[in-house]
Amino acid sequence: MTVLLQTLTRTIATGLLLSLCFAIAPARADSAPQLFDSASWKTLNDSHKGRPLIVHFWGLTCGNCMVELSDWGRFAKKHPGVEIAFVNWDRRGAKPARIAQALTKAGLAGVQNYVLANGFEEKLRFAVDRDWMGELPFTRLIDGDGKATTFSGTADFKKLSQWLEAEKTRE
Amino acid sequence: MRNHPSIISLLVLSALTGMSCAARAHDGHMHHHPRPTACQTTALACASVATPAFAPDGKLWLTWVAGGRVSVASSADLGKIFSSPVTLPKTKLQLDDGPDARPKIAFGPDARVVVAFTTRDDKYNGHAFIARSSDGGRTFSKASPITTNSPSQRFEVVAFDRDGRVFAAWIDKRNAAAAKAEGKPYAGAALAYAWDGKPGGTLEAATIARDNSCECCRIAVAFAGIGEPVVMFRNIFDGGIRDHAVITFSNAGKPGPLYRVSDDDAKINACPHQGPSLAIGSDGTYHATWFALGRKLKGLYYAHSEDGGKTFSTPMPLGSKDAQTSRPYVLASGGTVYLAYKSFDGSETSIELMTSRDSGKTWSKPRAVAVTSDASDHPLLVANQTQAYLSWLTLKEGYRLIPLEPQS
Repeated sequence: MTVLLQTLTRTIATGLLLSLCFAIAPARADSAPQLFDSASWKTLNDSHKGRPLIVHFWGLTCGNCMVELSDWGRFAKKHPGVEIAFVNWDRRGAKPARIAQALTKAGLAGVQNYVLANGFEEKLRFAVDRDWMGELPFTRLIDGDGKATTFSGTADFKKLSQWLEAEKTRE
Repeated sequence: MRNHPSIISLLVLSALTGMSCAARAHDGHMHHHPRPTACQTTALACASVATPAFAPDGKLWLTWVAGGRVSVASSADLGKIFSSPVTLPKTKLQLDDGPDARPKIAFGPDARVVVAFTTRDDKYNGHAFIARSSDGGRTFSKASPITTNSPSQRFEVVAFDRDGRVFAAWIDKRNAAAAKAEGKPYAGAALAYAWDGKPGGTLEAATIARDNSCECCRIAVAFAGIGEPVVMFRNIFDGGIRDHAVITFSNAGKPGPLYRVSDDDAKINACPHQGPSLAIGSDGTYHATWFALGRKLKGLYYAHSEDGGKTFSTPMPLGSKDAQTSRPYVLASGGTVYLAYKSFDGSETSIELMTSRDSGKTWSKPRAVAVTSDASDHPLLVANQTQAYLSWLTLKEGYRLIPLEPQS
């Protein structure tokens, strides 16, 4: 019972935090995407200290990304309260309306949603991860201590769930 | 490239990370402001990608995408001043703006010119088109689809063979769609090609040269001889390994056997968005460069083949691992092989150049030949009869054609 209460409290607290976060930075897919650059990347990371964060880099011009997007939608639904930021990495500038349309169709209307702030892709990528060669999809898992692990290509959602569970027990 | 007076051009594609004009308009703004109105005109100054080729009369030609349209223009002074551009009619669908997409231009005999480009539909399928000119690029025909009966084509390359016929190759999804309709598995897409039926004619029906190629990278074409285009592309080998391969076409213009360029061991369901580059020297040596994302090799590599692509030299890594090296490009011209790629040091992007005077056996140390501190197109190499150049479009500096000297 206590455990249940704790979980419930945590869920509500996370929900509140999330709402607060969205109130400050309206970056949801159903509103205009937030511009992604080294400053907003730092803000995103700083605002999640102590809590796990998943950052998924994807593109409308990446077939593997588009095929996988609805799987991310199901994953997000299964893990409400888990913070996932979607960063569109179409280097020649995807239209915000098309990004919103794709995310909404995949059941990701409520996620934090970013679009490249400018075309200097090398510099933006350098800010995210010096070892990332720009392949998509690319996912960065940031744990409560700010330590990041990354993977390229489509996700193993079972492993992702395990990572989240492990993170929850750390909290 | 081997001496082909009529293939004065770039047979290559390339890719592009990009330099959008939105970036220019946005430069210096606070990051959380809404994106300002993008640069909307069709001018070269608003272009995100530009592809060069030399015409038989020695003029430099460029084709670019800006304002959602494809334009072409020529320059008699190596890129300083361009003629009034010819802008092709607006396409029904938006142009492909993937990182490895760009329009191409090639010159043939009798003032014939072809321009090729791809559009994308709402389902992200590609539709490749070819527009032709028979008056040296002053006017172009209505663009025609590169093929029929195919739900998606991307990464088209077009080149004139010495006999005046156009060779086109692209990544095609007809067999993938057919397999899907039958509920059968099908990895990736396919490499398709078509030839003009006769010099000055139009493309014949397409043929699939190879099933199961990577679907998200540019392909490269160079000629080994008349009727012998060589295509380099990211193939999907057994076990889902996405490594590079070459196919040399025979004299009858039919695809020969597939040979592996390198054992990168790339088993990954990701879009590298970086296709290869291929050049063939006058001695027949194949020069290949590519981006590897494998378990054995990762980064940029170069290798050469002295036996028509059957075997390649041990891959030579390019650049420094921590400099985000990308977008390699190779050119063989006048007895020298030129290799260029991007390098990023945290604030500036530079184009590093290496040269070889012994058909790729030994190389000069890399040297930066151009630098920029904002968004840029991929570096492309192009040559006329006497000189090799770096062709580079950058947001800050605009279009540049930079003469290259062999290094020692």
